[in-house]
Amino acid sequence: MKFLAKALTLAVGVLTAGPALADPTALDLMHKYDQIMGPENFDAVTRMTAHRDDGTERGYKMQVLKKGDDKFRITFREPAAVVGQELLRQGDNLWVYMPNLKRGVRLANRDSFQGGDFNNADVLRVKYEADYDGTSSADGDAWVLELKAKNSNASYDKVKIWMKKADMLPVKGEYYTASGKLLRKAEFSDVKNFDGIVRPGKITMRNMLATQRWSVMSWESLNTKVNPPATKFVLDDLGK
Amino acid sequence: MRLQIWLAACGGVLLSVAAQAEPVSEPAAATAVAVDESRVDIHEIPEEMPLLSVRSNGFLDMRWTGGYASAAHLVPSNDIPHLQELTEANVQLKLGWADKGQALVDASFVHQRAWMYWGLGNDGQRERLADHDVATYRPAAIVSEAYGIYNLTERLNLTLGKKRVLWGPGLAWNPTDLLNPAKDPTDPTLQRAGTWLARLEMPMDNWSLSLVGAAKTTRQFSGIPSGLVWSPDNLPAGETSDNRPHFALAARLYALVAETDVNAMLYMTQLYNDSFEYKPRLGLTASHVFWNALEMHGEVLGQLGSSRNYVDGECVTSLGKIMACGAKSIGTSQLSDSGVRVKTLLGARYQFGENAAISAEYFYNAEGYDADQFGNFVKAATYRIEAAKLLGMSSAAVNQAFGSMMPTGGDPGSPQKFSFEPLRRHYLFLTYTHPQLADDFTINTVVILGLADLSGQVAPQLTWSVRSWCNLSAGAFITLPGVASRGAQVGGEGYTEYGLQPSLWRAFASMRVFY
Repeated sequence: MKFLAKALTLAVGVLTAGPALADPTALDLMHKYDQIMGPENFDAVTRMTAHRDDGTERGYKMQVLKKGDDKFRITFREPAAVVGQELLRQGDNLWVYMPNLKRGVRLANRDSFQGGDFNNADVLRVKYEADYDGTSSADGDAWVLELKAKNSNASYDKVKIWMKKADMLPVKGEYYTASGKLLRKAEFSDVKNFDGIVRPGKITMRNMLATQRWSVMSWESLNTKVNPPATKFVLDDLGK
Repeated sequence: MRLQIWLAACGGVLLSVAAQAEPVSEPAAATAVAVDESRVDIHEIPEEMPLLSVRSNGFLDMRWTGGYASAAHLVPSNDIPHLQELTEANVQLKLGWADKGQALVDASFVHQRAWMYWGLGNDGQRERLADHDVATYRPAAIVSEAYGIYNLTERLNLTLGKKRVLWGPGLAWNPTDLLNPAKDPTDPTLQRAGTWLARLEMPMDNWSLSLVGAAKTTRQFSGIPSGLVWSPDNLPAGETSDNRPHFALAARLYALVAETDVNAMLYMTQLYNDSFEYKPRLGLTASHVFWNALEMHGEVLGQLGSSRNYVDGECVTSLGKIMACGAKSIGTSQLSDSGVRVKTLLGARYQFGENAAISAEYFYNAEGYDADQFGNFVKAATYRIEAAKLLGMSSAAVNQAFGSMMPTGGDPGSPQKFSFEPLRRHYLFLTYTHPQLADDFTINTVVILGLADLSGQVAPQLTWSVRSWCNLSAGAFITLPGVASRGAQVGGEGYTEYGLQPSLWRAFASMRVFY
């Protein structure tokens, strides 16, 4: 009787399990990461707080507008000293608009973002599929995505991202130089539902070269149901 | 007539291109639906989005300057104060009208005081002069910008008012900028003032077309113009109108080509910021980032003739000769010259780690003096001083009798720490900036070097960001006397360009509070 019960259980298990799901490829993980962290279009309000060596902190509030894969515009709303400053990315081109200069100046992607521990590309170039080749592996309850830069516009030479197997949300990241030196560590936390998009609402980026420093980027709002006009992403629109 | 043809041609091109672009910009809602029905185009204003938005910010700046001016240099020191205080209250108000347009006002109220003037006494010794009124140091209201932009269509907008429209990528200097008050190469952020203009602009994804008509302010009171293009009807006693228009027209095409910003500009100026009449000029600029760290840029302005004042070499052979020549000793003798002059700026900016950056820019001033012309300029200055002493004339009377040595410029705009008025042809601007040094400090050093005689200015500055809303700065302007043997040799002495200036050094401290 016991044998029959075991056989039945096994048979039901085999029949209901169906074919085993294949592990996601690196491309699948990159695609998912890009979908979660850089939706195609959005209008967001974010805050960045830079914690410095001396224990003090500096905060910035900004509006972030994204269109398609390669159009970003950031307008600073706080503090008063940088109000009106803007960053624009169009493809591989990056400009900063300074209200007192009254014009846009070209920037490089790897420059630090407002002196914090994010760089410009961390914020303005969230498209790993375009900039990296990768491999994937498993680490406990997370997938590990290992990325290697395939062009000079990528913000780091090597990146490792851990994504939870259960919901594919990123939980942590490590960012390296070409020689393998660890530059930054990121923690993704405070998962929120932004009008249907469930994703981390906070990224803590730790500077591994100056370990007393870290920066936190948090999203106050994220509206993906927008389609900003292309004219918002042209050099001549900065300052308007 | 020429003006009408020019306007008609430019306006026709812009409107016809805008009309061609129009089918792309169908009613915004329809475009959005075509892209994705689940999305809401940002042009469809949700009910909760305010139709009007208002933002304001600004700063209060206080600056104290002390310095030393030599009375023995060729340029008189009589109007250069040794102590100066400046307080600037700035307000910037931005009004948004949904996607229809916006208006912006950037105005400053500047209170200044200056003390301690020194000059050359009759005995040839440096002596203290009585504190006196100098126009540069009067309190002023400055409307840097006051304009409205109306979006005629998604791809065509109209700007009316006072605005600083800057197209060239040069950091310290912009030879292709003929419209605005000149900037201070030691701190380009100080110059926020623009010009009164009307602009039609057509921004496309990777290119833009702009047409600008700019009016010269012929007279203003407290920052408000009482005369634009023409002199006002009622002038104070002693002033006369030239009854001629003063304006500039410009057409500019911008394109993003191979990740390079390219601007092509066509100007036509009529007694705008110089003596040229109906003068066409061509400008070309480019900017590109190499290897993700090195930005390189260039600006070229081509023109025929020169509006600079040149000294007649025949008039500066002796004191008697210059007195006989009088005002004819100096003038715009090359105004109608058919020689091509190309002003050029070539520069590079390299970003180090930690956001430090160094930039180097070479400026070729095609209207600058060569060695002989600079020699004549120095001789004229020397003889003018002798003549003034002999006849007991003031510097204003000397200018009236012998002509003005420097070109008459336009609106100076915001108060600057340093005015760059190049006399010679070859200059180098070097700038080193290191922000976030020990988190809250920024070091900035600018060197302006005249390559003909190696004279120039060094301007180091340290800024401490005490709070996110408060900056304290201290800095200096130190004159580099240059190499006398490379300067003009007059009367057995070598004169360099920056060696002519009386100011040997200035130091300042300032506090800026943002709100």
